[in-house]
Amino acid sequence: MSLDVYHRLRSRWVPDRAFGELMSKSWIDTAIPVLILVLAVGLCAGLVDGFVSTSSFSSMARLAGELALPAFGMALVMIAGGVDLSIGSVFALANFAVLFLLNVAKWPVAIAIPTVLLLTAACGAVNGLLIGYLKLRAFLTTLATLIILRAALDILAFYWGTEVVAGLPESRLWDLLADGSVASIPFNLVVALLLGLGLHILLTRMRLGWRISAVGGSRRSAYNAGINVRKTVFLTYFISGLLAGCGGILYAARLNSAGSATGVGLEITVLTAVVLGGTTLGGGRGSISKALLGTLIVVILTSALLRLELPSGFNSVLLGAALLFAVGLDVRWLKNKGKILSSVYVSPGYLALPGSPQIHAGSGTAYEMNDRLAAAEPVALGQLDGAEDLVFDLQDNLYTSDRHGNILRFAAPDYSVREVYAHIGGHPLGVHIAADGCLYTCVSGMGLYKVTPERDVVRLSDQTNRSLLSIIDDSRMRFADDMDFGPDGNVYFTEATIRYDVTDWATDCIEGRGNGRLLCYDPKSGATRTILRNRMFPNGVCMTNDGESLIYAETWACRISRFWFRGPTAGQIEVVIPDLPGYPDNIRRSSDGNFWVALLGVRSPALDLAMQMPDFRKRMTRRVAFEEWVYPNLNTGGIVKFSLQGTVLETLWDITGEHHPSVTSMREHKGYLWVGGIFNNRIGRLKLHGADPTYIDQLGRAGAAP
Amino acid sequence: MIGALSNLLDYATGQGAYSVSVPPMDGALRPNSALDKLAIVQRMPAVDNIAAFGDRFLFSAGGDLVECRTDRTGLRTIATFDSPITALAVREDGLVAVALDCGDLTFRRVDSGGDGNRQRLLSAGRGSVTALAFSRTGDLYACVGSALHPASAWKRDLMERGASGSVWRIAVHDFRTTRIAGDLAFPSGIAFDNGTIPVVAEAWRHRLLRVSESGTDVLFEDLPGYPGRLSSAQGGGYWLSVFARRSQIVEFVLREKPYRQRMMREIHEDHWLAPALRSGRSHLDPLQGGAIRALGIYKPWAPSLSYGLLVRLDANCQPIASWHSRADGERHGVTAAVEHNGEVLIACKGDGVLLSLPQRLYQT
Repeated sequence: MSLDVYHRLRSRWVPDRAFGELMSKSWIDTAIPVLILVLAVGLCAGLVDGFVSTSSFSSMARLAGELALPAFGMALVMIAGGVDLSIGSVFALANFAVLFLLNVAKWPVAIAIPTVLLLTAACGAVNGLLIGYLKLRAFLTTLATLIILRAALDILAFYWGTEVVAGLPESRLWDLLADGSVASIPFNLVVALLLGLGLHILLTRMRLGWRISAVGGSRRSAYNAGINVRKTVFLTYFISGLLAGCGGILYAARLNSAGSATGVGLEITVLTAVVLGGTTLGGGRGSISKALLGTLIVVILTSALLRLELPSGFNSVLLGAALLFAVGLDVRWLKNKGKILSSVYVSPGYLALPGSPQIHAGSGTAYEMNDRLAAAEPVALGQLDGAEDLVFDLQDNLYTSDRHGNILRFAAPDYSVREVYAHIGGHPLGVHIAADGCLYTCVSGMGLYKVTPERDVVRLSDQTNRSLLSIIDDSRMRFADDMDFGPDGNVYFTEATIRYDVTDWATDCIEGRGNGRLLCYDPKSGATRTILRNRMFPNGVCMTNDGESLIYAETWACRISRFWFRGPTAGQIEVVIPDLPGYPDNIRRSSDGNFWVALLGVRSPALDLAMQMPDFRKRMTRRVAFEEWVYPNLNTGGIVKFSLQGTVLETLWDITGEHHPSVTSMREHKGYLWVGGIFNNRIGRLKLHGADPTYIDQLGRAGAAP
Repeated sequence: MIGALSNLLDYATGQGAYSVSVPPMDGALRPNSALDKLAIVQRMPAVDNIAAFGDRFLFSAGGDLVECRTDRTGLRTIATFDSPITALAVREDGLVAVALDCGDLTFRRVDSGGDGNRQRLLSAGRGSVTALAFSRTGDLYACVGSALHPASAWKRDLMERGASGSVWRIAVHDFRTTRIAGDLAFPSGIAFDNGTIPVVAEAWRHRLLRVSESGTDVLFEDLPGYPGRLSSAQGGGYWLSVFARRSQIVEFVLREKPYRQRMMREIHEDHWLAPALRSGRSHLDPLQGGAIRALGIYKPWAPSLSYGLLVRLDANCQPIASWHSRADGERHGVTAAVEHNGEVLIACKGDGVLLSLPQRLYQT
């Protein structure tokens, strides 16, 4: 039993669910460079004397600002699927050119800088033309331009090498670039951060950025989607040249040197930074923030080496090793991320259900098995696929849904002709007709919708308030399930789970946690808010007649509860039936003032036991194919009639499960009980003896008189 | 030390001994619905074992010993025991050996009643005989499934990962017993190679062995099911009754000790997450995801805890043909098959039917 206590406490307090949810975030890729950055800082602070000091940080920040700009350019090119090796030479060219214009040609700073930027952008444009339009290979092309520009620079340096560094231009702007600060942050880092912000917005919020990612992700698909691939590729090299130029100008301002070693090996440093940041070599994935993180890591490591006063070769060794590490990590991460996610996302909890009542034939309980459902006459046989719920209009026409997103109508009186009444999408589950003739439906995957009598589909709600501490975005609706109209004009509806989609309902069962909620849509304001959280797959919901409370079924908890949403006891919850022998689904009113609840399936001891052993289920989800998992026994279903006090009045079963193996819904209409099942290919019609032959469900509803 | 560590690693990652993969049914074992197409000879609840002698068949069904002529006439119960019959064999001279679940062994003649003399197979522990066969020399060979549980508690023995079974030779004239092999994981079927060398089905290790006092040889391993009784086929080879198929979920449960222990303690044996001769008939039986009835159809390839499978093995114990009853079938839990007079009689204990496989369907 102590193991039992351990499982209970562990599943309650250890947040392994949060870990899985974090892994499902797209920004989790950035976590690795952040971790490396923290490790690098920690390591360097421990190993290098004087590493943690204002002066050291300030010089590193200045370096970072200079390096970040070409890194941004490289990141853009790489996200689009290319690589730009020429940036080292472009950087050096910008450095030389700006010094030449200022010191030799004596141009003013405000004119010299744009001129140089135009020059470097032109270099980028040449790369872009060759690679984007002429389809040359990025690696060799930029390698060639790297060599050509470097050679040209050497020739220039031969003629003007000494003149360019003679004297300093008298300019406040130049001084600011050289060693100015804004709020003690080096000015060049400020420039880099501002440009980075702009590029981030470009990349994530603007058309060009999306196109760049699309081209990198899949060139052919991007082309097929109508994106001008050539132009997009061209633009990335163009921007890369521009940014490398910016970096070169900042370098010139800081050092005022035109040595032949300027920018040598820069392309490797930048490449290392970008890949370490997590931008994929193959393109399609990456971000500006990743490039910045990578730059910081590289700057910290190289500065630390500098401070250790090791021979300069060590620097290259370190960079090379870091690049190899980053490339390896990138490949492994990309390959295994999905695998890790799928194995950690499911987080089974401890669930001890109360003992199940006996239901076998001859047990003498109120739930005793019988064959009454098997006698139901089939309707729409073979014309249904995913009819979770059903409803009638005042002309007795039958409405239901299918899993292709349609609302279907079968016209009275023979219900033989199937007509697509409206197409919504998603998988419509609960269907209800309001007093004004509008059909309301909870569409899993989409939200709350209505179909007007003119057959217009109207979206009522697809988001609710986001909770403060939820990691996954719980403002969107994933699995709207069933609803009822409140006496106040609001629509009360359930969302079965916020962690899984409709096709993964069984995984939510295996998880066995309270992942669902009860929501309320207010038609006056158009807003939806969450009124109850952490329910166990809340499924059916139904108003009671007091105008203050509703009852709802929690499927995996085999429980029906009553909730007061207004009045003096608002917020109170009372369990109506704590121990159903099966898994309850939709709840509907009966003509005698009681309630019907559909049983999706019945409990089996093997699963009940597994629900108390979270580790067992966790390993099961990891190792066993999902078709082989233990499920609730959905091949035996039934219908239970109960009173608001929780007394079970009668039960209808299909013992063999041939006709109605699993029942998800039923509705009493004019003396008949109509039975639907989401996995079934039929609806059943069963004559109810002694039932009110004039009863129409939507007219019996509190506060919804026609 | 290293062994313990690698065991721990396997446990954490689900590899090695903790891998739950099951060999596919392929080649000669490719699934079909052949068993479901066979004619039913007789519905007989709990029909278990079959033996043939001359112009008649003998069946065991619960505690009843039933006789029937090969032309299907004269069906009658010739003896009733106070304990279920677990194994049956007939010698060429008409001596019938009957093993009971309580552990006793009794002999009688085909034509006359027994002398009521019951022997206990000593040192078989609490176990009972799961299979009997006479060798050409007239000695009786017996498989004892487990030293801890009677044959009827086979499921518990599997779930406890039992390996206490043994194979015995019994000299009929003086009842002298010799243990030929021990520590077997539920030997459940026995036949003879050349009429003299015993071939044994070891159920929990899914393999067939040639057993002798000097040691055991593996003839065939990695069966996708649990092999049960073996009988000789005409023209060489054997008929192998596979009483349940292996499944990922059961392999997984077998590697989950805490769950198994609580399951055995708290749940009735019929509703365990374990192989069964028949499952899915009670609402308390565990259901697997792929077995949900969809659009009115129960898929034949749905995962199920019970299955019907009869395999024809050649003289080297390699499968050459198979007859199946899949998840949607109604001939599950094949416990015996005997070839006699141009037909194979098949007992499906799970569904309580006796089937006949005519010669034209198995001779190519």
